Amino acid sequence: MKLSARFLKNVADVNCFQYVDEWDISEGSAQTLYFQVVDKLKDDIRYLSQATTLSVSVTFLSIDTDEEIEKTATQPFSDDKSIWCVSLDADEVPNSGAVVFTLTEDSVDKKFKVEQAIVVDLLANGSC
Amino acid sequence: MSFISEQQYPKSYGTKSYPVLADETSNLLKRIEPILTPTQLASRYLKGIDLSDYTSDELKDRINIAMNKAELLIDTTLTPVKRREKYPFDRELYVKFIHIMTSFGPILEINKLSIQSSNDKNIFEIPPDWIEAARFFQKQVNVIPLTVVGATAINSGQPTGAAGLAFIAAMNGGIDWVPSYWEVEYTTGVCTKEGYVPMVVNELVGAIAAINILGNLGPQNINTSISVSHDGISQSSSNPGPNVYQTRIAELTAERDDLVKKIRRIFYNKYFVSNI
Repeated sequence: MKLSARFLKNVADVNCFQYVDEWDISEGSAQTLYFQVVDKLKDDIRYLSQATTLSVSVTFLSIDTDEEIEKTATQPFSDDKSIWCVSLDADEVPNSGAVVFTLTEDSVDKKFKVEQAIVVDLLANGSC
Repeated sequence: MSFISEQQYPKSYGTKSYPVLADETSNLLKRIEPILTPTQLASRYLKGIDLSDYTSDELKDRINIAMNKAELLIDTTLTPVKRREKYPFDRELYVKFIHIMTSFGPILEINKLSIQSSNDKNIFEIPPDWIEAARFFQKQVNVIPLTVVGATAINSGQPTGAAGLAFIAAMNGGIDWVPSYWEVEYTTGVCTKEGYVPMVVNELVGAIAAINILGNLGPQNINTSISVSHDGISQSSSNPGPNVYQTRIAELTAERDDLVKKIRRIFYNKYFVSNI
């Protein structure tokens, strides 16, 4: 098993969504970001945990650990436990790039990282 | 207005890293963007090329490799990197306001400048107020103690060993050279905003990735000529075969080389200052 995440957009219900290469958002708006946990070694088939207690956290990385944003994911659909989502407030602007996911199954952590997972368009993009 | 301040690390000049030394920009023109995405790579460099052999993950992999190659070509890192290195005590440079040229740049910020013993003990931490940051983009660090530093700043640099202080005192007696003395902790990169790069850097990354992808796709066109004849009627056609993308690869290679020179000129002005 090698866990990873596929990113979703236009999520309406458990049967109606689109896969995308990365989350693509703009700075300055609250966002709900959907993803599906998959197993890379099984042709990206969705991963349905059998754990009794299950949680997922999403860490948006930074070189400065104080600047990292860590969000706890929720399961929006009871019919498909592989789909999760996290909410970002309007003033939470993650850095574009890789994201680390931590799946905790009955107190056992399973971490995985997805490269180029999020693209955030900045309002101030004339200089850096 | 007080000349007494208690500035804390990290120390930066406060200007932008790109455009270099920009204090403020209007944002009417987009100059920075997130790291290249597979969609952008296809749209900007591979328009009309059949990429059905590549998955999104494979294109991301190509982009990652291209970013690492770009870092080698322009001699700096595309995302911020914290570094730590030591420099000698050179009396001639010491009297020229502790003139230090770091090995890597451009410097985004200094995280600490101190006199550090060889067993990694902090002998004295230079107050951030005294660090001159104006030439950070050229990897130059100076210590110019013209301002009075408040008590907190001095306290942050309290020595941890009396032996170290004795050593500093001994230097007044005529030591000219200590091979490892100043320790600088600093962060380098091309953009103060993590996860973003100047668009020209993305252009370089895209060119490198596209050259690789086109180089892989070319040999799939194995035939340079095809002819069919039947009952005295014949038809033939010829095409570039494996060289089908060579013209485009040559254009991208020229663009890559040009961008490398120009980006290095922006971020990496090389010059050497010392005494002979």
